[in-house]
Amino acid sequence: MQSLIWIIPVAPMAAAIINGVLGKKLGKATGAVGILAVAISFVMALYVLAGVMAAGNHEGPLADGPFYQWIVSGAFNVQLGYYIDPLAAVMLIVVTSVSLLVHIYSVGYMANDGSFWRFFCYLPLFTFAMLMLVLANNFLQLFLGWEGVGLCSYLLIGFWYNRKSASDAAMKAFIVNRVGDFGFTIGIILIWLTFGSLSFTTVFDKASTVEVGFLTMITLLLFVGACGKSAQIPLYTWLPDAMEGPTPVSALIHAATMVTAGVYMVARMYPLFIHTPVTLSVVAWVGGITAIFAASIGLVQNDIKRILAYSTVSQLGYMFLALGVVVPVSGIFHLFTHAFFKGLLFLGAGSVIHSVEHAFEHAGVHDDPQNIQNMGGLRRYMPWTAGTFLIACLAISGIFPFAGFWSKDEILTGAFVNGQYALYAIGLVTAMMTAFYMFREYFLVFEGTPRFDTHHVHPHESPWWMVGPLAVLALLSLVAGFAVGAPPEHGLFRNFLDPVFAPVLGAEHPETAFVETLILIGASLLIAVIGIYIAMMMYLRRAWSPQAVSARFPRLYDLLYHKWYLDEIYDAAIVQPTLAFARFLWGFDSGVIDGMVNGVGALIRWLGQGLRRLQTGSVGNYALGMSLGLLVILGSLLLSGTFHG
Amino acid sequence: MSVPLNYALALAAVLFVTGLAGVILRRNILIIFMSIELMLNATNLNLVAFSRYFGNVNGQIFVFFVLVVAAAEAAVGLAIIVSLVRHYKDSLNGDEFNLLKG
Amino acid sequence: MNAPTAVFIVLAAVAVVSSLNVILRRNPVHSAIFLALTILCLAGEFVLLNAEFIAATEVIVYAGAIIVLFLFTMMLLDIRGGMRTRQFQNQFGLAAPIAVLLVALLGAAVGAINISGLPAAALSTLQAAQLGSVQNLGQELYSNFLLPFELASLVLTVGLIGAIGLAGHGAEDREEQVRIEEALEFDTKVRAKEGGHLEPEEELVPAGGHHA
Repeated sequence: MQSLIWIIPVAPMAAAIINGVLGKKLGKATGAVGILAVAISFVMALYVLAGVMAAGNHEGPLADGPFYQWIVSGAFNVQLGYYIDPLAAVMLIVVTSVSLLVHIYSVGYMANDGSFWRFFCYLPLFTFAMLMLVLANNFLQLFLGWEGVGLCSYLLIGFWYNRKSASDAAMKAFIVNRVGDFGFTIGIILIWLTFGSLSFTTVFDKASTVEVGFLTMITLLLFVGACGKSAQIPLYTWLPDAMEGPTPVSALIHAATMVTAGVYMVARMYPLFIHTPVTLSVVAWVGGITAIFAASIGLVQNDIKRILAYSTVSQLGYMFLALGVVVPVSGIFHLFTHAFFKGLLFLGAGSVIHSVEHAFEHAGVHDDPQNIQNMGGLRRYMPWTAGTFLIACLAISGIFPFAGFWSKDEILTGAFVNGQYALYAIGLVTAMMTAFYMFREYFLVFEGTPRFDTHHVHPHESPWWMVGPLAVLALLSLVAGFAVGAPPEHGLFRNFLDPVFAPVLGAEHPETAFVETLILIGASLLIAVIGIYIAMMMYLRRAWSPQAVSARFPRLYDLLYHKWYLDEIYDAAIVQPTLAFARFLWGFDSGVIDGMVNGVGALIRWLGQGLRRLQTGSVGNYALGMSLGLLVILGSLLLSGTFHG
Repeated sequence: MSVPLNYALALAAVLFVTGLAGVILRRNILIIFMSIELMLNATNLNLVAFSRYFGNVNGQIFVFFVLVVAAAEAAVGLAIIVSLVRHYKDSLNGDEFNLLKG
Repeated sequence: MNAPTAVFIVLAAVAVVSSLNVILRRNPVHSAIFLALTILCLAGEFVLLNAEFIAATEVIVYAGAIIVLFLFTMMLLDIRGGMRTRQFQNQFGLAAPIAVLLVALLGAAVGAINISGLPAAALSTLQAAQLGSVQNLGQELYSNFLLPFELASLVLTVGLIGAIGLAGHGAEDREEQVRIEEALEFDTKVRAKEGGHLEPEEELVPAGGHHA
């Protein structure tokens, strides 16, 4: 197995290089190259999964092999390698499978785009970087992948770079991530200073020997990096704006894979985090607050993709909550299921936008094709998209037996059992909000009467290139939850990940009584159903007027509609002062620094103007000059007494 | 040694400075050129004198090469003068050739 | 004072006087004749210094070839124009003192040289006579100095070709004439611009710059 692992990241990298260099000539064939490469990676990932499963309860990494000597500088020695354990195997499957489906989907979605080949250069490149991140066996390689996915995210958000909003959003994503990466980098440097090594195995082995205060600082800094990448408070603002990118990108990068890198990183570093209760509670509370905060914004938004973006932020908060209340397996399980149903939601939204945009364009309507208030009743036009979207909505709302039910319930149960009742309550409220805004979106988009001119606007189902991946993801959203196995405490997924987390957590799990479990399940199911019911009454039956509700709480509605004014606060507190300072420095640069440089230039010019008069062009003058030189040399030789030796 | 070395060196010095003076004083390019030949011959005298003084034939060999170069130089230099006077300015006045003025 | 020294001084006196004539005469033909005289005197000095072959070569190459070349050149050009104008350069006031100073300094240097510090070769009359012989020189030239000797022939060939190329077909080369004229025109314009005498429409802009 080990000798073939390198194929997993190298195949997409090769595709990216081929498409990047020959893309213009290949044209549409770039899509085939990308799909083929990621398919190879997917098959290899399955192969790795089979190998990990066969190994059974094997403590520590199955493979920790270096395959490339990267940096050697004194004691600083970094080798690119791969760290294969069940956690990495799960992530490999998630990344390669979603990436493969998104590649296929993109062939349909991007078919009419002039930069088709550029898209299929960036997408495999992203897959490569993400796989490097997942396979890393040391912090520097992790950071390499981390920055690689950040770069690809930047390139793909700004894919339609001639749109100002897109290039602004790309810059915002990049700059906000810099803040997180700053903390992450310092954390890595501290790890090097503390442990004298960047290799995971070495660092994890020594984790218990280091002073807790120091470890707390390191883990908090690492978590700052995770906050940036996984869009947690206070660094979440870039993710909603990132929806400016093409929708397949939103599905792959900003829902299923890249944004979960922070979750993966914290889970991977669990041997460090477990020793620091302070960091763990910070992780849990940041996750919990982000979950409810983003969900509250999602309640009132009207952009089909932005609702999903806030939903993603909220669900990522759930994952961090799980990691913080020491149920990492549930967090990873939610990551696993979320990748499928959130990917499905985004691809479904892309299908809707694709269709509505064309229909509007065709009919000459200038309405916003992403505003759900302009849609309605689309189920009749695109049944496949509607059906799969409904499955995803049920899954994310946590309705039995869809995938989200299992994973979300696992997290809430974990929080309750570990005594974090406040966080449990937050999770429960968030679950209700999630169910509400997801079904609000579903009802407004697919049900009811169309709010567009049905005589002129004729949306139709998307091509099979796009519907195929939707169907596959819908199937996965249905069945992925069953991976949890029964009973959950000793189920398939936990047993599979046990080699990773059991040695860290210790053997004992707080056992829950069967009745208690049933009550908890019932509670979360009930709360989800309530959320759906409210949405149905407001948006399907129109029994309760949404306008009346918002008119009743005008200030709260305003606050939520403007996303708690956080973008405005950031703009006033950080962006504007930075810009003012930059303008001041610009003035300093152009006035003082450039003035000095130009002054030197002017001085030389002035000297040259004077000295050019020496160049008379008359040979006689030059000969005279030489004679003068001869005179001086001869005189000095005579004076120094050379001839008297 | 029949002729003292000093005598030869003194004569060479005088001839050299005479040639140099011709170069930096005269305007006629033909005379400037002849002054250069004068300077070359002054150095030749030096070489021959030292060759005799040290009893080493290499100095004379060097004079031989100086003669070769002087011949080639005279041919090319005079050709340049002819070309200049014909095509550039109908004058032998060295001060007038100042195209390289800065 | 022995006989050779006396002869040396006489020849030296003649050489100095005729060399002064070379640089002071108004007529370049006279200068050339005096240059020939100087060369002949120097050849005599070479004989006194036991360099018979070099002396002969000097006479043949300089008096026989180079000076004749000068005279032929003067035949080709109009030298009377150069004779009617001022003979000395504008820098005369500066150059003359420098020349005088150089004579003084070189004289001081020759006087100051400590000859006894140099290892003089004590040659017998026979050895001294053989030093500059054709046999001795030839042996050196064709053994130790073979490569420079061959290179010398190359230098002469290149010089010959160069001279023909430069002076040989100049008159017919109208293209070159045009180029030189263009360069001169540009030069005058630049100078006029610096002086500020240029008319606005004559400004040095690339062709098609503005059509106002």
